[in-house]
Amino acid sequence: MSIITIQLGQCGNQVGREVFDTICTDLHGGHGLCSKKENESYLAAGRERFFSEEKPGVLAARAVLVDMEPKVIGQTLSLASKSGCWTYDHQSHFCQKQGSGNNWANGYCVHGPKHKESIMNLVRKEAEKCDRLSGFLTVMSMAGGTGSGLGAFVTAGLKDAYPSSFLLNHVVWPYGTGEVIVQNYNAVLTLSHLYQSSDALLVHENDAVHKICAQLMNIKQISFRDVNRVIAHQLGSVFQPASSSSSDGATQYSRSPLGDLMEVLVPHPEFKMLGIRNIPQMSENSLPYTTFAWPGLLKHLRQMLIANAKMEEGIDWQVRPPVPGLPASRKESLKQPGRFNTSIANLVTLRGKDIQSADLGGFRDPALYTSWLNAPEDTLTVWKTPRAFNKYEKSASLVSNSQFLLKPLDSVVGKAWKMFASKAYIHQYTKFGLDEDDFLHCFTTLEQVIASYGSL
Amino acid sequence: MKGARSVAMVALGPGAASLPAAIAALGLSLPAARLSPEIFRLGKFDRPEVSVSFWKLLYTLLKQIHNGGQMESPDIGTQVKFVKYVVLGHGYRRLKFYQLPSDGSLGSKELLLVFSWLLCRVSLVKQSLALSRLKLCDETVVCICDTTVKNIQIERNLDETVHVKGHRDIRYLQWLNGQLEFQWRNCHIEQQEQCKLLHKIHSYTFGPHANPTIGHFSTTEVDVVKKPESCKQLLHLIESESSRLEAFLKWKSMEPLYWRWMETVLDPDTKEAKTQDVCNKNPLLLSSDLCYSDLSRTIEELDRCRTDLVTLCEELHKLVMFKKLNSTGTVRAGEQGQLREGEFSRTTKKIEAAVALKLSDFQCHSHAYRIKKIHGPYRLVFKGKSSKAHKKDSFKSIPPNKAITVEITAEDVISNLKRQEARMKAELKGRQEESRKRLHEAAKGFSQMLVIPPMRKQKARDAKC
Repeated sequence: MSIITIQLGQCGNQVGREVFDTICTDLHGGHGLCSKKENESYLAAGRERFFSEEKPGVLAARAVLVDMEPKVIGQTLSLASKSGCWTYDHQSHFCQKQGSGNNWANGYCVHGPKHKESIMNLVRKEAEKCDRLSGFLTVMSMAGGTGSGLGAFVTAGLKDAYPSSFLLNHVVWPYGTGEVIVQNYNAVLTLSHLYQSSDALLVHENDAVHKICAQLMNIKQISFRDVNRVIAHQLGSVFQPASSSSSDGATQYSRSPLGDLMEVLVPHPEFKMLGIRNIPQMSENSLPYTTFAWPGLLKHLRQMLIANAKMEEGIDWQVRPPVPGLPASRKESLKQPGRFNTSIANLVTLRGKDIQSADLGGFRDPALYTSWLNAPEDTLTVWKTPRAFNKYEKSASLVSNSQFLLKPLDSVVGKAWKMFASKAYIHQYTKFGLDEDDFLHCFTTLEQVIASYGSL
Repeated sequence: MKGARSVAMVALGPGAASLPAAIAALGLSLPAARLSPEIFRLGKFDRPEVSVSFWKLLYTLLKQIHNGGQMESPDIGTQVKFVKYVVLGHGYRRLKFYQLPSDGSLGSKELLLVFSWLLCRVSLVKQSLALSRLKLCDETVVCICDTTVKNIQIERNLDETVHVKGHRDIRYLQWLNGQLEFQWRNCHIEQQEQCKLLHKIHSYTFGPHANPTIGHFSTTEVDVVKKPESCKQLLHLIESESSRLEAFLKWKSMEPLYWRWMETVLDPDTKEAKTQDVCNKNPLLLSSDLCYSDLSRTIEELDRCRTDLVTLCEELHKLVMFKKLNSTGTVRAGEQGQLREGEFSRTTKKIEAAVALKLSDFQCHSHAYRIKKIHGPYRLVFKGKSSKAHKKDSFKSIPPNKAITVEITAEDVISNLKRQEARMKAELKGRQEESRKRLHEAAKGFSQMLVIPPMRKQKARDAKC
């Protein structure tokens, strides 16, 4: 089944292009260490998922590019054409002369309604190209103006126009130190609006990815491109074909990837935040000299999950799941605030050699999960494929609906609230038609999210 | 059962000798189930050695009807559980059967009774034949039977009978509900995909079909044209199906014999039957048949509505007369009379509304009755190119038992569904309003609680901007 990617704003367009690049490289990356038949069905499903093939041999990304400035879209299109293995449909982009100036309200209240029709037309054309449309993946940043403001508007439009399609928003969480002074406002507005219209929010924190680049990939001067590449790799490792049961890979590969993911991870409307972790992650140069074993990889991945670590280095191995049967008060004191990361549901994807031998017992432990679900039947899903992903002989990725975002979310809302209480920069928003009540509603929505995740 | 079986009095010439032949014919007409007449004979004497075969037989047949694939064959305990559950759903109420041990070691006579009961009540053979029927042309099932009223009744029953305190976390229920919604959407997406692909096949193969009213190939036909070797396989399937149908015909002619024999199985039991029949308490379970609202039920419904309407009209009339008399009497009494007048008009309005509602229900029912004719599988025929600019899919019925073909256009079906949707939406709205009121009532008890309304929808904001 196909996914249509909607790239919004500078960040969205750059990340989106990296995602297609990663997937295309993976699809052209040789035999993938598995049987020929397996590889063929993997390739066919992967191609159908992300590309259309109008002329034989030319893969055109199923994507709609939207930005208010022409510069980034121009770069994105030309970089894609230069790749030689895939391209964008050059009809499928929308841009204007003037950006949103990092103002969320400008994107949401002005650009959104003004350009809704043209954007939705492009989306419709892309949708008509799909025989089997699974849903939409929108890629955007959370802190800017066009991506986040217009993105939130477009997401609501998609929900209206395609009520039965699945809607996953990928959002990039800004650096804590901040690029934009009003980023906390923008973040609060984006998240709360997406919470109303999207089915799930997949979050990447810039800070965490930056650390991965520095410590795991050994990159000295880290550019946005490096960060985006890591994000793309992680997304690809989830959305490339994999099957949820061992019965018949080929038909399983062609199932609806977004639908399957959401059904197991985000059925509850109050819990829509997804985080992603993967292992191993390293620079391409050291890859050929390293071997991995499943028990070690999965042990690390599990500890990354429960200790809320974003990468395999520097994990706190002291964190243990709470002992069941203890009275609540005692449990609390043991837990120490914010240390143990309780999950609602997890999806583990395993790719590569000897996946049959991988033992996921550690992820089945009911102590990892909230008590109101039946662990592990309701809480753990496993996708597998013997096809190796992007040169990694073995790799595992974990999409998790857990408390991982509780702290950053709390801090963003807190900072934004402080600014709001002193009415700082509010006029920049009100002049585009967003009033203080709207802000208050957004705060309430997120407070509710924080409370829900906090009381797992 | 006895009344229905009085038909069996006809033609019992050959006697018990041909019973095995009848059972063999029955076995041939059922798929994947080899019936040996011997297990029936042993079943009559409640011999334990055949009980497992009976459980297995029931499991395979019921599993097939309840659209489960026959891939896995679980242990006998699961099979027994499944059979008991499904049979209960069909409304079987004999306690003895449900008390049979779960290892399947006992009760072949009870199982024989259940099997025969299903045969007669659920028309097991017909259903199984219909399900495994070869689909040579593209079909769709059209069903515009009115189910709303029935659902309300079920729900009322639920309200009254289920007092179980939920000890599950409410979040778990919300989770399950969300999961259901996603599954619906997945289903919808798959349906859309199928439509798209069928449309492609139909429009690409327009022209060469031998039957000009159809004009294009079906999926099976395309498959055969593309892969001639599958022709043989198809032929084989058709042959086996027709042999099953032949066996069914044979069984039909010999069926009375079987029921005569069943009476001998039942006879010693009839005395105790009345005392055993204690399971028949829960009306909710009785109504949980599979949305199979047949004609008779609709007619019954219709009759009930009509009598309801008539009584309501009469009541209204009486009430109006009474109130009129009353009010003319009281008008002279001055101010107080005016007050009553208000009350009177309120009551009349209320009754009028009730009548209007009943009337709309009545109309719906008569509509449903008319549309009843389009219930069942229909052949999908694409008429895109013949009707020029006006593109439309049209359904044409396959005449299964009658020679007349009934055509329905997709437009008709869609408009019907839309009407139904509108009705259901109205009902939903009413119920939401009702629940909201109840919620308000309940919230009054918690004066210290702060309730925040959900965020405004975007449309409201658009209007404001």
